Amino acid sequence: MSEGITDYILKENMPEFGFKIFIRNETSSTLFSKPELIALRELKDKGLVFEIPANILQKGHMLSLFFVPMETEMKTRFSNTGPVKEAAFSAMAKVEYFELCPEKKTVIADLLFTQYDTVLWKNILEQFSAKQEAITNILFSQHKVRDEE
Amino acid sequence: MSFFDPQDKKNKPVLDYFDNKTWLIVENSAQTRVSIKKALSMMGARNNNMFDADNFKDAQSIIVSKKPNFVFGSEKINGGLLTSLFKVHLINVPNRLNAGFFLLAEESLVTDIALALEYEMDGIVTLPYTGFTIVDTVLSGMTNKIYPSAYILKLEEARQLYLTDEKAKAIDLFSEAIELHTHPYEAHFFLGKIYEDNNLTEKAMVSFEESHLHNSDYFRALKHLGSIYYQTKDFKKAYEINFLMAKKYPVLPEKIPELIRLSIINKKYEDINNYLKIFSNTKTVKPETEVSLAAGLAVLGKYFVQNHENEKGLAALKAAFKFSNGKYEILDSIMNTFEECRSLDVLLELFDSTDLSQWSENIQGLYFHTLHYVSSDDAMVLSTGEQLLKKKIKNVHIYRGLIERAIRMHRKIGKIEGLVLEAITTFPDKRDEFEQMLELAKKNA
Repeated sequence: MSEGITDYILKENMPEFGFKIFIRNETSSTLFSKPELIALRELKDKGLVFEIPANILQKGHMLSLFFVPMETEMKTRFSNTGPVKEAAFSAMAKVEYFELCPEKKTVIADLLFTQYDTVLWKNILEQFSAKQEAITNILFSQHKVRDEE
Repeated sequence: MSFFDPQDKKNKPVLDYFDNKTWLIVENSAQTRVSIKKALSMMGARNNNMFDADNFKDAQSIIVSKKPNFVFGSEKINGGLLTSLFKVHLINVPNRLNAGFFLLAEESLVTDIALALEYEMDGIVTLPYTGFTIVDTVLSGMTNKIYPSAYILKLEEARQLYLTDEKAKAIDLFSEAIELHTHPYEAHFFLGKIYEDNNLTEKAMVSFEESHLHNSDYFRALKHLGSIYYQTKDFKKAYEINFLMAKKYPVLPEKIPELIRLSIINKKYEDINNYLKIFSNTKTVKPETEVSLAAGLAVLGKYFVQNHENEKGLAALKAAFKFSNGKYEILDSIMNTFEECRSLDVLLELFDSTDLSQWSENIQGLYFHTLHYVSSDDAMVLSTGEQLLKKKIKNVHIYRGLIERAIRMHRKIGKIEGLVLEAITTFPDKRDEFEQMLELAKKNA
C-alpha cells in the first residue's frame, strides 16, 4: 500500500506536552480550578510567570500550585486541603509581581517558589526545552546540507 | 538544554556580534519585555540598544524610523499581528546579515511555524519560554550570520540587492554565490523568485527545481514548486511535491481544499476516503481552521456525489455544514451539491437545527432557496420570502424562489411583474434570467 498525503496531514510534528494548573490561594482561602484559563508564559529556575483572570490573586499572596499532566483526568475533587494525587509537580509560591492586562481582563503574575521539589521542576524545564528544540529543528534541519559543508 | 556561558572565550564572537546591534521588543506585558531583554543581554545585547513597543502602530513606526537590527515579539499585539511587520522590517533593514526576526508564539503554533518557514524568519520561541530557550533559539537562527561562510556572505549581499529591488545586480551576485557552495539551493531559489516576480514562469520553475535538486528538504523551494505545478496544471508533480511537504512540515489548514483537489485529480482513492475519516473525527478546531476544513469537505462531498457514492457524499456535506461557520461561498457550494444529489431536505434539516441569526443575513437566501425546493406549503414559502425582502435581505435566491413559486401558483401577472422589476433593479446583471421568467409566467397565465 503506497503512502499518501493523508498519512501525514494534521499530524503532530512536535511533542504534545503541557500541564493543567490548579491553584489553592492559601492567603484568600479560595480555589481556582479552571486550568484552561491559565496561560504559562515563562518558566524560571525557582518560579514561573503566568497569565490568569483578574481577581484570583494579589501581590504577596501565598499559593499552592498543582501541575496535572494535560492527558491526566482528575479523578478526585480539587479540595481546600491536602495534596492532589494526579499532580506531577506541586509547589508553594509567593506572588512577587502583578501586572494588569485591562483589554483581556487578566493579570500577569510572577511567582517565586518557596517550597518545591527541585528535581521534578528541573525535569519539567527540560521537557519544555525539548519541545522548543523540536520546533527549532523543524525550522532549521532543512539547512543541514548547507551547514555541514 | 544547552547553557550559554558569556564568560567562555569561544563565545566572544557572539558577544561582539550583538554588542552594537539594536533591538525592538514587541510585547503587551512590561514584565515579559523585561525578561526577554534579560535573556538577550546574556548574549551581549545592550539594554540601551533596545526599543520597546506594546502595540502594532508604535512597533511599525519604530521599525521605519529607528531601523532596529532585530525584532523580537509576540504574534498577537495590541492593534495587529507582528508577522505582518516582517516585510516592513525586511524593506527597512535589507542587510539580513545584521538582522533577524523572532516570534514569540502563543496559540496557533502550526500557523506560526508555516509563516516562519515561508518567510524564513530567524526563529520561533514558544510559550512558556525560559531564558535558555530564548538564547538557544536566537543562537540557532543567527549562527550562520555570526560566523558567515563565503557563500553566506555572497548570498546575503545578493539578497540585500533583491530586497532593495536591484534585481539585475542581484541575479549576478546570486549566480556568483552558486559557485561558492556544493549545494547552493538558496541562491537557486532566489533566482527563481526573481523570475517568478517577473512572470517568467518557465525560468522560475527551472530555478526552483534546481534548488529542490540540491536540497529536497528546503521548504521554500517545495512550496513555490507546488504552487507553480498547480498553476501550470502539472497535477501529478504538484501532488508529489505536496506529499513531500506534508511528510516533513506542518500543513496549513487553508491548504487542505487544494490538497483534496490534488488527491481527487490524481485518483488517490485512499487519500480521498481518509480525508473523510480524519475530518469526521475532528472535534473542536479554531474557527479559521474550521472554514478550511469545511471548504475541503465541500470539495470531497461533490466528488463522492459525482461518483454516485451518495452516503459518503452526504456525510462529507453534513460535516462541511458543521464547520462552515456560516461562510456564504462554502454553504452555496454545499447547497448546489445537495441539490445535485436531490437531498436538499437534509440541508433544510441542518438549517432548521441552526440558529441562523448568528450568521450573515445573506445566508437567509440559501435557506430560502432550500425551503422553496423542499416545501410544498406555498403559503408558508411565500410568506417567508416576502418577510425576508421586507427585512431588506437582498439575495438573488429569494427573488428567484418567489418568482418561481408565484408562477407555479398562477399568481396575478401584475404581482409577478412587480417582483421581476424589483429583482432586475436589485440584480441588473440577472436581467435576462428574470425577463425569461416573466415570459414563462405570461405563457402560463
